[in-house]
Amino acid sequence: MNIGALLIVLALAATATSTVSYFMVTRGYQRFASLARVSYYYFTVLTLGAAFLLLYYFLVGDYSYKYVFEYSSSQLPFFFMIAAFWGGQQGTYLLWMSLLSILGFYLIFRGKEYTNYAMVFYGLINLFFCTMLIILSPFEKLPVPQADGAGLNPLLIDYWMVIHPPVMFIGYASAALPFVIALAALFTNRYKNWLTVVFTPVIIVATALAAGNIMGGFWAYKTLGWGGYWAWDPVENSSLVPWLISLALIHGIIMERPNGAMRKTNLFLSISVFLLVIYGTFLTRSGVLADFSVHSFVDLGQNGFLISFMIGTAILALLLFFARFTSIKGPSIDMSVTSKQFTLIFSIWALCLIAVFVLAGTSWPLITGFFGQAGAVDTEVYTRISFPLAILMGVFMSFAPIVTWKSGSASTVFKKLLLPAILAVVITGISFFFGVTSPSYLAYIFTVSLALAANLISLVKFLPGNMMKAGAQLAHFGFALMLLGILGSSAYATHEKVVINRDDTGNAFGMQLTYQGMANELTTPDNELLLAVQDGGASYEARPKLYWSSRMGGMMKKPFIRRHLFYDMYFSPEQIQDLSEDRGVTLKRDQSVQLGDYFLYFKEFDAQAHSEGAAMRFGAILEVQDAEGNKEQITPAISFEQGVMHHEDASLMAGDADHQVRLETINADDGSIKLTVSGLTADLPQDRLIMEVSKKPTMNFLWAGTILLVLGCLVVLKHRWNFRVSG
Amino acid sequence: MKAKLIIGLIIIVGFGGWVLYSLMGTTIRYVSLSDVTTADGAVQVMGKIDKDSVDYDVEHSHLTFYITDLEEPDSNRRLKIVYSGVVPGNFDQATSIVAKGLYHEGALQADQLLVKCPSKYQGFQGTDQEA
Repeated sequence: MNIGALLIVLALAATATSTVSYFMVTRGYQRFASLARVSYYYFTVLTLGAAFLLLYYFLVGDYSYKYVFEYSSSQLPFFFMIAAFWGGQQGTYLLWMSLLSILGFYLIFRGKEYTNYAMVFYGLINLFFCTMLIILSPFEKLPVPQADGAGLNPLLIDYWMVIHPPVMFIGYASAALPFVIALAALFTNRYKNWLTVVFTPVIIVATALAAGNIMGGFWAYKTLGWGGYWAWDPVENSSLVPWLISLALIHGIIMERPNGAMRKTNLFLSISVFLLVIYGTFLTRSGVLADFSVHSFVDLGQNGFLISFMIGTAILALLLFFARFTSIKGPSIDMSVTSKQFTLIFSIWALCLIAVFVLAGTSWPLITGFFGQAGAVDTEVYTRISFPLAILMGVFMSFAPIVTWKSGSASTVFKKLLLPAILAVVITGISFFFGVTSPSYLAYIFTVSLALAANLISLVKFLPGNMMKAGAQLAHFGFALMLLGILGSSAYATHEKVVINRDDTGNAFGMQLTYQGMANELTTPDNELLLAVQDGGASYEARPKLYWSSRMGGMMKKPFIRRHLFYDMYFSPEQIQDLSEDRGVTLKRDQSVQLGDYFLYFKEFDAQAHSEGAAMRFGAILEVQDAEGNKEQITPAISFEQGVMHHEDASLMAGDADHQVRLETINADDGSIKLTVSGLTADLPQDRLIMEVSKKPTMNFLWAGTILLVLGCLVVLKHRWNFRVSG
Repeated sequence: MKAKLIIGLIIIVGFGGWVLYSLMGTTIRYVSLSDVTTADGAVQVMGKIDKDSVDYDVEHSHLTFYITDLEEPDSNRRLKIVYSGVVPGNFDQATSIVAKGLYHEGALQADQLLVKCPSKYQGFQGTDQEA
């Protein structure tokens, strides 16, 4: 009996019961209240039970399950057996539903008057996931159980890949909360407490998506070796868009809090975040963009169902929204330039515009395909359009800690901006000194530095006692630092290509790089290349990875990164060229060759091969004759001991240390040998390394900025208990 | 109120127009092998790699190879691809490929290659190799 599949079916029954019961409660049948809640508890227990069961199958290596077989193997370290859980689509849907089942408790206990309606809509979403897990079951059995699994994609065997997907899915799952809360508010047409209820989930969405995207970028940077952390790929874009909308929503909530302004916008954005998450899931999992993305997408037969759900929820939500549209009234908004409202509204606009634009760009193959020949956009367009909006964001973020609700006089605002402006001029000047001459880049640096300085100054004022009130300043400071890091590391990254023979030295960025060989063979998983780096006074060893993966059917590489305070050195190997083919001379038995003044004659293989215990030894008996006619017989050999090859070199003539004869290889097929004689055969190295070395400025700004941004969000989240709606 | 509405509309229409114009301007159309030579601007084309034609110039990192028509395998149609830059890790194993770039001097000067792998690997978010 398939317990896992049974648990999913029971979870479906439990959430169906819960949903119907909550619906009855909304119709006034209070006696259904306890059934509704208890069956939801059962749903949570059953879902988590299924998740832990799957995890158990991964940990014990039960390869009778197709999903476990496809993504795990007994060779995987413990943590990656866990990570294999979310290695494929089925497992990620189960992870997603597990998180949903836990997050539902927020609605039950913190949902105030919206609980019942919200739980009806939430139940429908859970029903969708249960059905999806029946269509795409992680508990599908193989016809014949396997002894071992196929193993995890080696690119995923990285600690960031253990943590990145769960964080991402916390963001996706919690996006359902603002959606159902907004629907409940619209349905009941009551908005008094909706902000208080919706605020926490929105912050969780924004924090988790920020952290998730950053971890994904960090993983790409240190694993994939193409040197970047963001590629504007559909997979990345489809989590960027809901993140931007969640940021807009946070700012909208701040607008609505004092007097109910922008309520319609906030309801609409709350709905959009979830719909965009589902749309992103559709884009990345259905295979519609397979020809336009470097990520692999396979349609596993879920498309019809996924599309129906997406269109169904969108129609339901938008109908409800437009039904209430005219009945929701907000106050008029003070729009003088020096008011907080002005800055907030334009920040919301800027965030939404970027989101809409990225959404359009990502969907472009579908849009153009609808009208004719499908085409994708050049990713360069994303940076081109985001760039001026980032400059604007710098301006808004500079105003954020300075402007007040009541519009102040312009001179007060500018007085407060004076010190930040001086600092921004200094930073811009320093950048100019370091070679930034493009006026648009200088403008970008100026406004972003202005935001950096203004928020830092405000942050300092809150220290040490009121740190918990400065979440916004911390997040804005981090965001500005991140924007500086993005410009520095993308626009000012420089690359140098090096080709280094083994045991030879090459130059890049004034460093001496010596390629010393590799730790193992190219065919060994996780094989490292050994490079000695001499960088001015400092010297260190760089060990990028390059190896053949039979799991992926391709060469895998992992760059080596040397961090400095203001820049990263990024060593990305491209290729090892095997030169051993061209070295030495090949001889068959009874053949001779002239090398310099010497004649070499290959008499026969050493009769004493295959002896000496565990070691295997192959020798070649050679007769050597020099210019004076002196003859000698020598026997260079190769021996294998426990799979390791040793060369037993022989001197060409007795006592001649300069000319060492090495038996390189033996070809069993045609009985030939290959010899090298130092000083006589062409002195080619065994192989050579082709590598790109990049210098990436301000990478640390980027990482530090993103960490501070997430910290800022967490501070806001912690502070949420003081969240009260006035007016 | 009126003025605000008008300003808002101007911003939306202006930005929307700019975005649409930019997106249309940078669209890389999917064309068939036979249409590459007559296409304007950047295109992307898919084809089967002719393994015997692959040549890699290490010093300049120029990769050149020919692709053949996947849709009409009997057509004998071939297209030369010239690519500069880091060769995608699984290029050696690729059977077919998508090349993006401009057609110029008898060859598609590709600035991006998307490798289609023969392995049945089922992708998950952000897992496959970047080109």
